[in-house]
Amino acid sequence: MITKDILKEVLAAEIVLDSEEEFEQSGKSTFSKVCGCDMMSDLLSLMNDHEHDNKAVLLLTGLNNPQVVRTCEMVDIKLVVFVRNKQPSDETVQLARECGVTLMCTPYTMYKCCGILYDLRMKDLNGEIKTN
Amino acid sequence: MDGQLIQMEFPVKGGNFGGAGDAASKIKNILKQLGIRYEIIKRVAIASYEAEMNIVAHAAEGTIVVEINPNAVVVAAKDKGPGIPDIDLAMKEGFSTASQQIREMGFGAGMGLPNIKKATDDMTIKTEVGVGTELTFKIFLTDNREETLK
Repeated sequence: MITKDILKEVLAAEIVLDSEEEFEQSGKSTFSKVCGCDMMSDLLSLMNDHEHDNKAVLLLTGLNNPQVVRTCEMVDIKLVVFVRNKQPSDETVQLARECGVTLMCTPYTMYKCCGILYDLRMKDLNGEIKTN
Repeated sequence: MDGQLIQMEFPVKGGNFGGAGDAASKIKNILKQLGIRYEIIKRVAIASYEAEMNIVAHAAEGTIVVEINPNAVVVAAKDKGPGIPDIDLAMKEGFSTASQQIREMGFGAGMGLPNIKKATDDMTIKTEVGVGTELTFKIFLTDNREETLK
């Protein structure tokens, strides 16, 4: 299980909004599964296909509009990492605050992020993991 | 639930991309307050959100009516929109008539109706070209679906 602080370090990420901190629960969450996705319908489909501890799932995406947060709200994903330093709009940050979703930005590409997190033995939504 | 029936109605404005998902969010929160099982809430939320996005993307206006009875959550998404000329085609994953605007929001990839069907126990579509569409879906609250259907 990977903490938010480790993710911040390995992805050279900036925390735009720490929703846990706002609710004074900082540092409690850990993450074990990753979904790299720009299609929100794909995310809904994948989250419906499998039973997850959804709060352990993080979303990597290049999409930075409020619908990303709305989609996470529907399936209880609590952490979004925007790739290639895409900055969420004020509206997106406000919605994330209301929904208790933490937002990070990383300068890395989606591909690089996926590689780093795969190496850390984080799983995909099918539960597959690096084996060697 | 104690045998009671709860009904709610949410208006949805076509083209209101900023507010898209507001109704699904409210539905999800109400189900949580009612203490409904998480797995059920997730399925209702996914299907309601996709249905709401369809109204926002394609119709002038619509409503989402939710009925929660002791056996099931029943959602009817009704719109005044273009209607669906070919339902079989609309049900194919990947088929979409959505605008670039809705695609930029991460939707419109032809997954909406298939996602709703997959998330629900029963789904029906009534549609008339040039008039509108009524999409109804049901998610049973009990594990024993056969018993519920009796």
